[in-house]
Amino acid sequence: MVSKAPPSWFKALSDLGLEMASQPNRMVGERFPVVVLSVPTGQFATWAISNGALSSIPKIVQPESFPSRCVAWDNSLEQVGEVTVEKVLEDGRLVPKIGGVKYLHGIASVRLPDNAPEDFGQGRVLTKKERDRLNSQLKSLGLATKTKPWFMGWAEQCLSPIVIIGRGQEYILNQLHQLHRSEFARDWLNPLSIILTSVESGKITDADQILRVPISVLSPEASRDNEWIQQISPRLVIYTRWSYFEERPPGAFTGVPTIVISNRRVESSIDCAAATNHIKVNPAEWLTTANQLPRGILIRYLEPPVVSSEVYDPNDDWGEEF
Amino acid sequence: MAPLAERSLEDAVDRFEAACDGRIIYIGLPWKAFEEFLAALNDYWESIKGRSLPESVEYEISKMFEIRRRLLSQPLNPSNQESGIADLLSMTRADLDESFIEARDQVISKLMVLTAEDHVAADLVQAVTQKFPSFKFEGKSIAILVLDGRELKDAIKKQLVFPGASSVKYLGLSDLRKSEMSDIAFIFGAPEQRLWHTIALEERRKMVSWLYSAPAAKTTINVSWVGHPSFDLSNYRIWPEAALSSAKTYGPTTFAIKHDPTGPVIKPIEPTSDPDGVPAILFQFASGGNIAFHPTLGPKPQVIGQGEMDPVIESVSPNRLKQGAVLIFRSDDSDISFIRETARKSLGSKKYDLAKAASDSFKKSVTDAKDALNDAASMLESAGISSPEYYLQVASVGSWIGAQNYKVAKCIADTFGFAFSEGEYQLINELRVHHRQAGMKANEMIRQSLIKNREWEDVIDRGLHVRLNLGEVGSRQIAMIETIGTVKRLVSKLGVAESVPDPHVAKSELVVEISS
Repeated sequence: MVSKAPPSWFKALSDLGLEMASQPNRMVGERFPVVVLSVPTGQFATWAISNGALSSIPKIVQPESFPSRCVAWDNSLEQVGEVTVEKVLEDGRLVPKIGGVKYLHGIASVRLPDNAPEDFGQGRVLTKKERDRLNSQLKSLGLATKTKPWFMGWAEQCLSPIVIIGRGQEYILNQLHQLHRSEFARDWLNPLSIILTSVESGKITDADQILRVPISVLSPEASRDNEWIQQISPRLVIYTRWSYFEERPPGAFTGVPTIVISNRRVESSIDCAAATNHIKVNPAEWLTTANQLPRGILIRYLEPPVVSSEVYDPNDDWGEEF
Repeated sequence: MAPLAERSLEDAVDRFEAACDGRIIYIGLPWKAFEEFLAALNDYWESIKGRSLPESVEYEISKMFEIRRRLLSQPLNPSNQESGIADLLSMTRADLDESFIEARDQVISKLMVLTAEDHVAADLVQAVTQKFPSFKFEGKSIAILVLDGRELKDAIKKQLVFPGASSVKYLGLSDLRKSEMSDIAFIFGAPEQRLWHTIALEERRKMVSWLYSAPAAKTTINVSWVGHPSFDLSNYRIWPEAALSSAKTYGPTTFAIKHDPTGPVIKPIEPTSDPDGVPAILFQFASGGNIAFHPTLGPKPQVIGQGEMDPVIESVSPNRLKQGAVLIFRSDDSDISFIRETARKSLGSKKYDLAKAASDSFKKSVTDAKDALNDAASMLESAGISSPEYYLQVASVGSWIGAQNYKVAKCIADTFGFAFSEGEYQLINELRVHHRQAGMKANEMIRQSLIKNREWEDVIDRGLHVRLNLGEVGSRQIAMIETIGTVKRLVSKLGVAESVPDPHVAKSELVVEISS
């Protein structure tokens, strides 16, 4: 019988997720933290990391010029979606205005990359029932108040998402569903994580809904083929395989704290070990979880430079068959 | 019993806990009779190897080495039919030069002694409880890593007894990797010996390192006997800075055997070079045959990798391939009609035909220019095309659609003076996208076949060759890379395997046929 208390490995991975996601995203000219995580199975590792990461404070980079094409809470649609953010003078100070609504206490918004599709963020993410659920659940955690209604907290989580890159999205999501349904393991997830990961799963795996949900699970192709997605600045990026990280376009999610999962049961972990052997550096001092991992979970720490986003330029291949 | 979803979570929990707090136990067993057989076999082999021998002698020697391999791979009693000893002893003696008869007869006499004994590890329960009196098998699930092959599995199943165990599974290496967690796993000898012997030892150890770093059971028991290499857990670390679980060791970890005869090996067929070809990376297969790819242009190799549970098929740069990588490749055009029909359906017949016409027209213009001009290659080079020979040759390859980059296509057209618009390029590109999608669909169907019938995995681990017959998506072959070199190869032959073993000619054991 498995314990209701989170096992040491789950707790350690959650702590790692929290610590990494709490790191500021780095800028061009700096180096950003990449933790390569060696585990005996990739199963559930992604969600253990995300569980901790979702407890970190969202990192919102507000737009600097106005009016600006942004993603924010759209009061008219009661969804997070594409909006035009303006700044207007109200009582002698500049406040954001979205649609007809002025937000006197401010509201989170992030600029959409220039090359985002015209029809970004179509469709409904939250049903009425889900909005009511979020309202009551976030209130119960004290995360929704009179001055900060629930949708503001929700929008902040969406605008600074956790992005998971891996193939077999259903397989990955199925693990989340197992955690949710399990009598014993549901208690391993923290309450905020349960709330935020309970949205309809179809949106989580839809690349076009990124920034509209707190977690997105994308295929390597979706992140590779959509330049605008690469320019988004998530809170944390998790690659479920070394090769997905290694073969990413150089500018994809550059600067964002990154965790790469290397499952020792698959042979690519050997490539990962060889590839990281000579580029690993001593873990940063702030990475205290590096010293608290149970035996059987190993990490290597990398600090690649932040590069500006580049256009992916594959070599010619003949492509008729594959 | 827990529902399936719950069990999968529990399985992951067990897997983490086995890696964090599991036990690894090593038990070494001396076995004098087997040691004497190995020594005699070594002496015989040393005296005879390198000589031209009659086929009957070669066959007899291969049988001797097969017996050695079987008795090392699992605790099969020598008297068991599957050990191969009885067969060898009943064979007519090979016609051997007189000077070697004594050495050969020594081997035979040692084998006769062996048949009177049980295998030293035949009673695993006793082997373990002798060292750990309190160790219990009752109620435990047990996984046993065995050599693949149904007969061998059946033989060992009948022989090994675990009173009171809740379940006993006999699994090959790939099945053990994917199986649910067990309470106890048995490994016999050095697991890397199950992999193709010409892959570097260090690399093979890495390939099986998961047995100790991501174990298949809470307790992993490694039982070794004379003939196995020495045991040292640190050999299996792929991250040298981090130690694996500590192991408890009982009995000798190094056996005093002077030699480790490896036996006869297959001689590779030398690949041919095409003087008019382009420089290419050559991959020779462990099972014979070869395939070549241009480092950056043309078809990319497809490798079979391991996903979390199931195999994945991935296109990779040829520069990234290493010895031991498993390639899947076409040997004929049996899948072309599937690709074309699927793409036609998804793109629409009218557009497909337009796009195909644009592609054919571009290719014809290039081949016409090549035929008409003496200096077509240098003209392209002067225009800034870095691989002119490639483009001149690939234009006559049926499966090529057109240059992937518009600037390259336009540059070629301008150099040879034929019209080519961006609209035509877009059409060609759409054709490529739909062909690729059809290819991905075919790949997924192939992958599902590979999941359904896992026999190929252990076959490949043994360095053999697999042919897959997959119905509408055609046929494929699977083989492991043995060596990597360079060669000049015609563009039309890039990505096409040569000199692979023919099932009608080659020794049947080199080729395994699997149908969907």
